[in-house]
Amino acid sequence: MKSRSVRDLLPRSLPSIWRFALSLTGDVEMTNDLVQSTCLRAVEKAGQFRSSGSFEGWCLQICRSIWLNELRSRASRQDKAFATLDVDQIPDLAPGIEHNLYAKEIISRVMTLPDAQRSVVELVFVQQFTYSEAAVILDIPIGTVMSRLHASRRALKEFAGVTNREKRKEQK
Amino acid sequence: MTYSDQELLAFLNGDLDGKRAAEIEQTMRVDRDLESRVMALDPVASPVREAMIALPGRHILKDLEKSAFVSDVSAGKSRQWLKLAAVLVLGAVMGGSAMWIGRPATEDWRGRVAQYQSLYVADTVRLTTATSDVLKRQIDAASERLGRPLEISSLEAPEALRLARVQVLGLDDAPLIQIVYQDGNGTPFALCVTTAKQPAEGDKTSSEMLHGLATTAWQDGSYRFIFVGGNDLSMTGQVAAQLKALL
Repeated sequence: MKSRSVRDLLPRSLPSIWRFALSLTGDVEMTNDLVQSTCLRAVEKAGQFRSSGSFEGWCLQICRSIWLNELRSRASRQDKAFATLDVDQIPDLAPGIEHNLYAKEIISRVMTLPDAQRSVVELVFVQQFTYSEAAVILDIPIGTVMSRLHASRRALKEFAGVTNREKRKEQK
Repeated sequence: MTYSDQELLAFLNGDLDGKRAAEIEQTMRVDRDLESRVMALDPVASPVREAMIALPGRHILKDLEKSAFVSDVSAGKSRQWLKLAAVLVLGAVMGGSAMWIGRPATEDWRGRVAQYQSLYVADTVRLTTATSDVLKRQIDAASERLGRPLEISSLEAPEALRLARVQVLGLDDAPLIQIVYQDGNGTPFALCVTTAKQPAEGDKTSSEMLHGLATTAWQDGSYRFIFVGGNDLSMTGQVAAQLKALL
């Protein structure tokens, strides 16, 4: 694919890339930087994208690869681990959500999951990639995707089956 | 093999016995319909999706959209997003085959390289630094594309700089090798090498500020070089002289 096409496709994928980056970093500032680097790299590597594949999946693989390099670099510099994200760090959520404590509670709980679980939750629950697609993006066996999801479900089970809409009705 | 919703829910909740759970997992690998069914039944997925889809928030999304679609980026925005805006807007305006710097332009090649390099910030290098094994492979690939050997020992010679990564770009249908460095303060630098249409006559080294960056360029036979970064022309001149002697 030409770099021009990649640049045309990137804007639509930015929210997905941003959320995935957040699931990896757990930090808003780092997320913004990681998204920027991902976009730069995607444009630079445009020729490697095959249009038969998922563009978003390809961008997320790039994002993950850059993040792994960052982690290796941090390990070699013996940097401190990242703090867990406080959901109030995230600038204004989408309309209607900022006053929805239930949604905030879910986001907070997701952000306290280990990063390995957060990323599968983002890919499978939120972005609705299949288990096998998530396995390819994260470069892990599909069984690992399943086991991380099992662990995430256990941690998030109190929210099972109750959507924001239902919760709002319940609160009325 | 068929499974009831109840059984699949038990699987999702981790309540199914190990053997049966393993069987479902195995079947899902080849049966996309079953995989879709399991995903649709997942009781946790929907509430989580509904909450998480609110991200990124309006403030961030506004920056993302501005970066993506245009142009009118106000002065108060962060430097990071200005850089991203520049990448996407340049792309929309210029198009081209390999990179935007690959498109023929009226500006001298040194200016085009400096313009590209001006998009780099400390984090661009920090987040894309290659491991030593990857770096070696990058150098091998770059040497092959360029048709001229590049030795890692020579590239690592500048003492004040850390070699971060090497990549193959394009400039007017010729390969352009970008060798990225970072100094102790995080400032990005790059040595770029490309081929020349005409072999050089004599030693012409020139230093000047281009797009806000110090640059020193020279030509050696059929290859053109430029060292770019920071704002100190004496520094780029010194590093260029060192690299020129080694490469």
